[in-house]
Amino acid sequence: MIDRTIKRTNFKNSFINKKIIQPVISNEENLVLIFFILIIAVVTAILPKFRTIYNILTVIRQFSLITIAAMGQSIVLISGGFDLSIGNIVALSNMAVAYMMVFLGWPIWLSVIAATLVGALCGLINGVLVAKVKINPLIATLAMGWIYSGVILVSSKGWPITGLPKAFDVFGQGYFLGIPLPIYFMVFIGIILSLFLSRTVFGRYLYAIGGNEKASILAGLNSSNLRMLSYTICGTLAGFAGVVLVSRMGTAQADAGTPWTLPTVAAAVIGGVSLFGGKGKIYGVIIGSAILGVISNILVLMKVSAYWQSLISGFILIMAVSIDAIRRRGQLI
Amino acid sequence: MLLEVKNINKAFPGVQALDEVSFILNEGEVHALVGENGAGKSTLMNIISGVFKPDSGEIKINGNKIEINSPKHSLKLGISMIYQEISLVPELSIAENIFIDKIPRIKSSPLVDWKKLYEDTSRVLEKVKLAKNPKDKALNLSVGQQQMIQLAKAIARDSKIIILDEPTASITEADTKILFEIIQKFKSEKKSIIYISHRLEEIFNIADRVTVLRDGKYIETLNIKDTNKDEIISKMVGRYLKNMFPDRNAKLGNDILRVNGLTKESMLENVDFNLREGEIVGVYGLMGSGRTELALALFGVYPIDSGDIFINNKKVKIKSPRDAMRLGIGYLSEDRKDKSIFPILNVKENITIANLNKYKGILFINNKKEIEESKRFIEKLSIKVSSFGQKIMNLSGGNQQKVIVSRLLAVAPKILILDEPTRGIDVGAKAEIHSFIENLTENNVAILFISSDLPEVIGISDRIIVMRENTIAGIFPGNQQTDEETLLRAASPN
Repeated sequence: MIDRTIKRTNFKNSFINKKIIQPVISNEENLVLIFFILIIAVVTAILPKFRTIYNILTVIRQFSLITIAAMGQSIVLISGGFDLSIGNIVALSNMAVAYMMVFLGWPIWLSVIAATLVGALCGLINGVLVAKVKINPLIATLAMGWIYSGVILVSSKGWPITGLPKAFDVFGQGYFLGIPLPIYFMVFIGIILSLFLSRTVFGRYLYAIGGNEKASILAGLNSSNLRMLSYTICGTLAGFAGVVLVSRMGTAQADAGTPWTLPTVAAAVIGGVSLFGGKGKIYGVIIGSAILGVISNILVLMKVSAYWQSLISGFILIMAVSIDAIRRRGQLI
Repeated sequence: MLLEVKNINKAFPGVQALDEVSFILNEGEVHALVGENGAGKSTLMNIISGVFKPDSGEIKINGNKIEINSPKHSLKLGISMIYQEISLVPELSIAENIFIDKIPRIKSSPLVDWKKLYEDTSRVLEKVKLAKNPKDKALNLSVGQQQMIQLAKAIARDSKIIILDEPTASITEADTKILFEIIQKFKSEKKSIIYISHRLEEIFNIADRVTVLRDGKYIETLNIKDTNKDEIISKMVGRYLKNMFPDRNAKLGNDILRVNGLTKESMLENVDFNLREGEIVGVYGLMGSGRTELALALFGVYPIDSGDIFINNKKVKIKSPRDAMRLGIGYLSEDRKDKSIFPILNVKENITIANLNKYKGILFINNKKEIEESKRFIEKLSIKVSSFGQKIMNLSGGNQQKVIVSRLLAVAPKILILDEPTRGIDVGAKAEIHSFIENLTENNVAILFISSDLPEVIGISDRIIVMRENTIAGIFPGNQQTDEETLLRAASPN
């Protein structure tokens, strides 16, 4: 009897609180999801244009490529690193794929694979500098970003590459069952990476080296090889995003994708990835990226000047990191 | 009388660090404070220097009752603590380091009066006999010189009470001599010094009185003139409950590990010993004696420069922790928070991380297998958790340690190096870990048990290696056959 009254009155220990509310709010990804659903609910209520299938597909297609890059960035962040060259890798593989097809006359399939591998190679170089040479990741990837960008500018003199084969358009502009192909790419890569992070040994290792590198070395993990792996995955994804980007735009621009670097970090952080490493989930990153994409769409639909976009994105980013910072408040050291 | 502390109590989770401790420091005296590790010396000094607040008791300075709120407040009251682990800002100049909290200004402007700063610095540097340019960065100073800088800081503040925590632990003999001269000078200026040291010879050299603490309790204060080393040691050691440790049932087998001439520059010199199957060999040594370095060398963190390691009579090379683990060596770090725990991973993931491949299917980790294995350990070591998904950070220290021990055991090592496995955990969990270690040896696991807790080393080991100055100072029988005095003496540098 007494037991029951206590249970009923003490909300803190109640079943609903413990089993439903606590897990939901103690998990950052869920909080972000709730926030995202709220935005969608409000927008669909007040903006009829938003809820057309056409608009929704356009929005998703718009953020799908940057999300692929953001997932790569998250892998690096989770393992305790940082990639400031990601935008430049996108640009490099975007120019590379066009160059291979137009100037080298390589077949489409070969060019796509080779340009993606160019991204992988860039990631591997970043990884070697950070994990083997042990340069601070911010500096190493900042410098490499300039170098990748320099390679493009020196070889292209800043000119775009046009005249891509028509058949190549399918990657960025094609549809399957009425849904744009880039969306499939994003979802497919998202599922693979989710499984990789949550279910495979290497995925678990990446969380471990990001969470406590010293402990991971003492537990017998080869932390520097794992770190190189994380940068290589990131480069590969950035490379692939660059390839699809050219296909969608129809031409390869020397600076395409370059402005993506910090937004990929923002999407990851909004989605609950920790800048200190060891924490984050792929579905959070997708939602984080979706929030940024939807907001920019809303502003377009509301005919608000594009100048507002960076203001609002900035506020959202501050909000997202504040949640994490407030949680850790009180830990002085 | 200058400083009086009376009936101080301070408890930390699971341990009463200070129990009704009283202590009087006279003007112009050097007062030594001695006791084993964990006796409460550091806690007492941290209370006097404002780092911790006592649970109860009072502190008087010149007869006035005072509550010390913070390290800053303590400094203001004229108390300076010189730490063992020295905290200078390497990129700032010596002058800025000394006057960091009161850099002189030009009149009352925000501009620094560099001329005065350097003059003042030269003056205090002279007092500590350090021939250095005040403009030099603190970066290149030796440990001894850094300590002098800290002393110079105390002089610059005109502190009346100076606390020295193991000041000679890591400085050269020449620096020690200078340090003692400075201390004599302080005395003549009517400053009071609290001198914490493991080195009893030094105390007879420099101190006027000595206070002994043991297990958080005040034991006695003696005049140095009226006592001797043996008396102090016997008071430090006291009596100890011997039945805390499990009976040894393991049968000793062949040598599983043998090392010859193990050497690593500035860490280890010519270390020889052997370890048998089922044996517990304790490793005792003071801070900086090389005991942790020995463990890390064997585990491949510091690959050795020369010497041979034999496992089951086969010569092996250990270049990384991975190599060591493949050879069946497990290592438990002394630093749980910094080097053992994955704070963001949960209990299950923390247990299985070192051996994940064992739970792997074709592509994915088999969650069921992982849970089963974790469950086995949680039951075996009676780890108190609410679920496998519980974050390890939310467990008590003892339970965290048990999770880490589970991680080691999951790899099924033949040789287990445990570095301070019971430090900072409560008595109950300590006893559980002891009996668990005993159980392991019954299954032929060999244990290298590193501890700075003398009674523990004596109680649990079959043999005891004493380390001193990066090498083995002696190997003694365990199982209560060697007394603490013998070990302490072997471990203490002369």
